[in-house]
Amino acid sequence: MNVVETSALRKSYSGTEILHGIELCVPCGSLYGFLGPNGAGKSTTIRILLGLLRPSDGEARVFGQDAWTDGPSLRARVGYLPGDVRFYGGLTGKATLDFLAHARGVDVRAEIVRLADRFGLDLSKRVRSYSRGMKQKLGLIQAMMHKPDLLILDEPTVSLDPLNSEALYAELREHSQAGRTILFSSHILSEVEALCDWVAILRDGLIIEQDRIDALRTRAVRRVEIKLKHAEACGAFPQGLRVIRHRDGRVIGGWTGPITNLLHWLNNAPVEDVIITPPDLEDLFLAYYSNSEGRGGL
Amino acid sequence: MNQSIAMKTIRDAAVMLYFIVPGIVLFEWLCITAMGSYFEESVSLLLKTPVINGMVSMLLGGELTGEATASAVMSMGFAHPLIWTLTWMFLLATITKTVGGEMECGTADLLLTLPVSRTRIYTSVSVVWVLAGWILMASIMVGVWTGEMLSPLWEPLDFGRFAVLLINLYCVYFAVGCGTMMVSSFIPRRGPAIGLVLAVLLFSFLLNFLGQFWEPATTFGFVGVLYYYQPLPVICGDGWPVLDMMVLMFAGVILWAIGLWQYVQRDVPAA
Repeated sequence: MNVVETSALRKSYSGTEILHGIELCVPCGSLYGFLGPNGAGKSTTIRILLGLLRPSDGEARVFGQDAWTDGPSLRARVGYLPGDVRFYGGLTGKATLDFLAHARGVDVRAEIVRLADRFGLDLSKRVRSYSRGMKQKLGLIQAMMHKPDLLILDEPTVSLDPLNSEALYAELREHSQAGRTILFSSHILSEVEALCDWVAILRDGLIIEQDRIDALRTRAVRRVEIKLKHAEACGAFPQGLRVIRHRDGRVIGGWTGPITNLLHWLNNAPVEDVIITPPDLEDLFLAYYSNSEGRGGL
Repeated sequence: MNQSIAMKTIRDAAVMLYFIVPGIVLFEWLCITAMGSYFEESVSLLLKTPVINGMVSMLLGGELTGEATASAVMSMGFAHPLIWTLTWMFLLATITKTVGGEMECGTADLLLTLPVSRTRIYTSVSVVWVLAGWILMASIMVGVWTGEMLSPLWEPLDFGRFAVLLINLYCVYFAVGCGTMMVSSFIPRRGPAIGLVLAVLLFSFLLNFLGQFWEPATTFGFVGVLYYYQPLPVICGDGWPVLDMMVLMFAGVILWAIGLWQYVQRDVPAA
């Protein structure tokens, strides 16, 4: 079952189309990375899912309900951290969270204390005296305090130090293990790769790839370096190995596809030494971003 | 209505009320004291100057003469520019802070992603300023009453007529508040929203003022909100300005409903 589903989702501002038919499916219980460069349309998509923006065309459904018309009821099950979170400067951190919890009609005092402790945030100070990182932590607490079934985080690690980023990752993993769904927007591949089990890649208002991270890895390139025993004795290279250089019995290239095929070939080839690096998603994603046809052509 | 959002709006509004309510009470008291001391020798003379007489007539909706009753003179306290300024300052600041201001400063992202419909948010804000209006009206009456107690005029004031006038004034407050709700729903930035409402109010003043000297201006006077609030005729008469009040309330409800429709339908882009 999908928690989030969009079909042919389009959004235009003043005659300019920002989203060109987004087809997004976020499975229940997944830790879903929403990856794309700045201006790709990630935040616009998220704002539509939260009922802040109305789609120009197409459909956006959350928990099977229409994101625009059924907003209030479905938002009870959603936690959201905006990309640029803002608070009422005159309130303390505690008063802010109390206000939001009361407006939601939930008593989450124990969870607030636990999260504040985990992120190391002093809730007694006024928000206007908070640093950007502290405001981000407050934003994370307000998004997670009611243990939402769907947590939508728009670039949550911006302005968090590495220690707090790790605390967030741990918190999100626990959330996911509890069967809750997390939609995690970012433009940093490494954190999506480290954290998420699904990913959608967005570029210029269109999803150009959407799959499990594992599946993407099989399509990603591994750098391969083979030292042959005899320079001319290897025969034809296997399909999937793109040879960049072959000289003096040393083969350097990139491998795409299931690693077992390569291992099988190596087993039968006169190989003296071999180096195979882990699949490099960075190259795959860079190819997606740079390829004007949409899909990465590796 | 959402209780938390209403309480937040009350907290925001209370800060202003702490200053505005004593200000109104003090002004009314000073107004009575000044009228008691200087009306006969100075104010009545000033009223003979055409420009001043025109301005006073614009504010009161009738000509104030030297032989006016104490209640008629004190109608000035219900239409003085300072009273308008304090009342509208409160109204504009309170309404634009939540409706448009939240979008402008980005806090709408938190507010509008709560499991609370926009209709309830809009209604919660409305309930606060609608009720606060009665506090402002009461403060005018308290000020006049205090002044009457401490510095009585040459004859007793007719508080019955003042009550009628106050209800008429509240209708103006309601119409302006509803108009501000509508403007703020369309313009999600406080400065331009406040500027537009003030421009409309100043235009209404101008129409009234021009109407004192220039006949054609009276033809279009009905489009201004102040056309429906004429303190002197209300104080000097013995009926209720029912038609004026109905026009103000009806216009207010229509503007409020348009504002609600826009607030519910509108996109909320990132700040």
